[in-house]
Amino acid sequence: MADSDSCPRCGGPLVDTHCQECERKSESTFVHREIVVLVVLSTLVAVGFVLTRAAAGANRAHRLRDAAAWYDAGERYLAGGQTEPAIRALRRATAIDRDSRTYRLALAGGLAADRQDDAARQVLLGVRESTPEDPELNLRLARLEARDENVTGAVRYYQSAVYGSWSADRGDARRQVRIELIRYLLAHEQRGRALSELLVLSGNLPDDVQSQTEAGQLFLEAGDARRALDRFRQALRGDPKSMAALAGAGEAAFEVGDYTSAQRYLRAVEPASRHVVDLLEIADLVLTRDPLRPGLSLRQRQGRITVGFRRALEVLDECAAKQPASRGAFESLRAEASALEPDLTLGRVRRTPESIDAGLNLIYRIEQRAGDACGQGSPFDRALLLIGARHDADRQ
Amino acid sequence: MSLGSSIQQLRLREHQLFLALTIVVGVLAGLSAVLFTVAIDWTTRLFFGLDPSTARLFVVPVAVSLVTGVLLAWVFPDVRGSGVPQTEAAYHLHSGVIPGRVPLGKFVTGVLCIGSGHSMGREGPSVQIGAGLASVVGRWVPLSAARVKDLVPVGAAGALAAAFNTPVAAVLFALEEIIGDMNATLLGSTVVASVASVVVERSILGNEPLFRVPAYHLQHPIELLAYAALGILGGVVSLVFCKALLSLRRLFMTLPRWTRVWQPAIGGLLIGAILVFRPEVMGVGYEYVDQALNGGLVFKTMVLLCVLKLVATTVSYSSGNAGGIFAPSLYIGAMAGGAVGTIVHRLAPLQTADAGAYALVGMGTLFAGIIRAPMTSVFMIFEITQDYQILVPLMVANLLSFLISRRFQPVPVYHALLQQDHIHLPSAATRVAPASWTAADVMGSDVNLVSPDVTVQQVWEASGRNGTPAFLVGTPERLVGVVSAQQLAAAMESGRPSEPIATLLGAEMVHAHLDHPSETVLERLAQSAGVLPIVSRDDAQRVLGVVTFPQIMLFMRTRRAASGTTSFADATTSVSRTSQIQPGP
Repeated sequence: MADSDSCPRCGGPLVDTHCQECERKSESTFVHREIVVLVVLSTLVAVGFVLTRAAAGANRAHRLRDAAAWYDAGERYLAGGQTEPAIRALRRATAIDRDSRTYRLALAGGLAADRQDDAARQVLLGVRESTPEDPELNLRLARLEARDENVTGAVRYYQSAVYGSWSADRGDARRQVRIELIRYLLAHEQRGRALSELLVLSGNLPDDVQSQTEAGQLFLEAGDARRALDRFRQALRGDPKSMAALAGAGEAAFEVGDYTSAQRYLRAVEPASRHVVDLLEIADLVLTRDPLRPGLSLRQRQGRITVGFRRALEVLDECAAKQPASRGAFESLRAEASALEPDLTLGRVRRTPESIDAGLNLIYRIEQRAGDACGQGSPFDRALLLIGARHDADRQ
Repeated sequence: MSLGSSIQQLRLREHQLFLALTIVVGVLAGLSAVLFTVAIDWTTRLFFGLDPSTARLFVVPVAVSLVTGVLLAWVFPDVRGSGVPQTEAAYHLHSGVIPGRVPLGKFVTGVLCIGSGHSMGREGPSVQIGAGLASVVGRWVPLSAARVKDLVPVGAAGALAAAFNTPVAAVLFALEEIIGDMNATLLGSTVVASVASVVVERSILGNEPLFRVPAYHLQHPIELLAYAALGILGGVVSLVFCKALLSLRRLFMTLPRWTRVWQPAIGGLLIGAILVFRPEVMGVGYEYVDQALNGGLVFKTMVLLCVLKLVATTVSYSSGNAGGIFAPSLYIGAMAGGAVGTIVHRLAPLQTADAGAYALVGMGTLFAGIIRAPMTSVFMIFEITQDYQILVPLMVANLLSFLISRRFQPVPVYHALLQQDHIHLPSAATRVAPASWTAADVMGSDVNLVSPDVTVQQVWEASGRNGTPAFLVGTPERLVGVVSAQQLAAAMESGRPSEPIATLLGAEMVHAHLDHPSETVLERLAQSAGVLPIVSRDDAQRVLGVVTFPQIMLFMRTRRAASGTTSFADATTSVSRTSQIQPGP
């Protein structure tokens, strides 16, 4: 009986046929084993983590070196004008090191050089996602859009470039981008927007001759001759012998109707370009053939209006011969001229000096009509037009 | 303390231990996946350098395949191919037992095969390595058999999560593909492992998405038609891929057994030739997928790479190398999608997205068509892009691709590959159908097996003696087919009594497995000659017993009285009670 109440394993007492001592040991063994297993596994995992991390780090370093090698190869190919292998190499570089902005920009450059504008744009837009205010990136995109004749897109990216995050020491580069934008706007007949950008540009322009001259030229192209003249004069203050500034000032003065100044500036230009010579000739003619110029005697005025009137009649005849379709309009001008001609003799002019005004007005209208029908005439014709326009504006 | 409460406490501790182990397994799987990726990178660099010469491109796959051929034939014979079907087989048929040499062998051979340029993916091997490690850890602890089995999909999910950096898709894959049940109770464990794995992977490699893709948008509702067309094309390409893969693999398997050691090298030879022509097909190839996604490839290149990758992967896999088909399916899909997108975008530039969007949807489409895991594919692409906009086109294309692929290739590719190895996994219906009885319940042990080389005359005479409606041809370990009494009669009438019985066998053999429910058994019995062989899922050539109509009737009559059913062990022993007809002297 005593044997049946004791545990066959440990000899301890049995309670309800169970040995509590053995059950406790079994439980304890299990708990110990659990802990040991987990500790061992955790240690293995920790060691594995460290080793794997080290291996992955070394691999990453290798990959970065590979990417750099591909990038160098790509750059070499690009420098040699071999765009196709360059793109292949740069793509490998960007595939390995996807974070490198340099590689991606180089790839975009290669693609653009190979005229793969869509692919280049895609790459640039990918880079732009992380740096939307990057001026260089926006400038590249703007140039791509400009090449694709997408004016809206180009202007948007140009403006993003101009108003992007420039470092303090890159003010000059920013100015150049703005100038590029202005030129682009001017080339696409957007003078108003160009002028707005020009006004901002002129506000923080350095005082050197080149910058002032460049701004003057842009103002001139944008149709603001007065501001252009200011810029050129500012440039001439820095260098009175700057030929570009003199030519620009001459042209600007010419445009604002200050022919005396124009003549002065243009005469100083050496060597004079064809354009400068033409402008100077016209300016001279405007100054020497204007019958209403202050300080002239009546005889001088009568002489000038007669010469101008004769020239206008010649132009009328020549153009009527060239353009028979416009003969009707020319006939009426001819009739008007025939009626006015007797009033332009010295005697009549003395009695009615206002006939010089009427004569000048008729000359202006004839030159205008002939210009419209037969194109630009001689420098004298252009001078007559300018004289007529000037006094027409005074009359109004 | 009573025994009952002690056992209850023990169970509770095992549950807690299992939870702790899911984290450990998740971390281990993540580490193994990262290490596998790193090792492939190193090997590729070692074998090919930065800019390999033509000779190197050709020689490396052949030379390395000679080594891997030896390893795969003699040292690690069970690590060929992807690893996903093997993991499924281990889970469903072997109670989750994966020998320790499998993850080791898969790692070594996978690194060598993929690193030497074979067009294969790293995710399938990662899944097998992760599952193998989980199984090894589970058995080492040791957990109960059921818990060891449960750890297998947990390890698989962890590995896939790290390989793709897509934790949600990995969980879905484990449920959808490995377990085959989206309502599985292991959801929590797979999520824990997946998260642990991804945390490890990201802490080592950084939180880098597998692919960098620009944001895409559905430009116009009508664009869905284009995505539908892509879905149809994806379905067709998936089908071509699956058929080509299975056909070529079957061809390699018909070669004499001694050639198995050389087969990877034959594959290497063809891969070398392709690499010389287009090195972009090499290995995993994700950098070119990235290019397709970012509009970096032109139409012609994408079409060419799509075709070449399909051919190369088929060759690499069929010739018995170790590597997966996940990555190739994504690669082929990206190229096919990119090509479709290029055309569509050219035709209607304002109404359609860039080609990259189509490449992205194409990836999911091929994945759904080939792997047949549509939910996984949708979530995977979503996780990669983190963009809701792509979901609708993705679902449209995936569904079409999936339906086309399923219609013309009813057996999923992983299951078909296992079937070629005579392993028959239970279908989803088999796993969930509440059957009133199964084949195991009614299976009989009287198996009339005849040797393939006995003559028609001999079998005919035996048929006359015992009146059996059909004879199983082969041995208990290698069933070749079934011959009906009608076939015998016809052969006798046409004067072929001296021909071996094997000449009457057809290509297909109707059979069932122990766990098949009553409906399946009856359906297949009706298709058979009156004798339905019951074969092992693990080896479909091994006969476990037979089912006939009289046996079913007997079972139904005595069901109420029957105290138990024929167990698996009973069934296997019952084959020993077979009658064999051997060739005459």
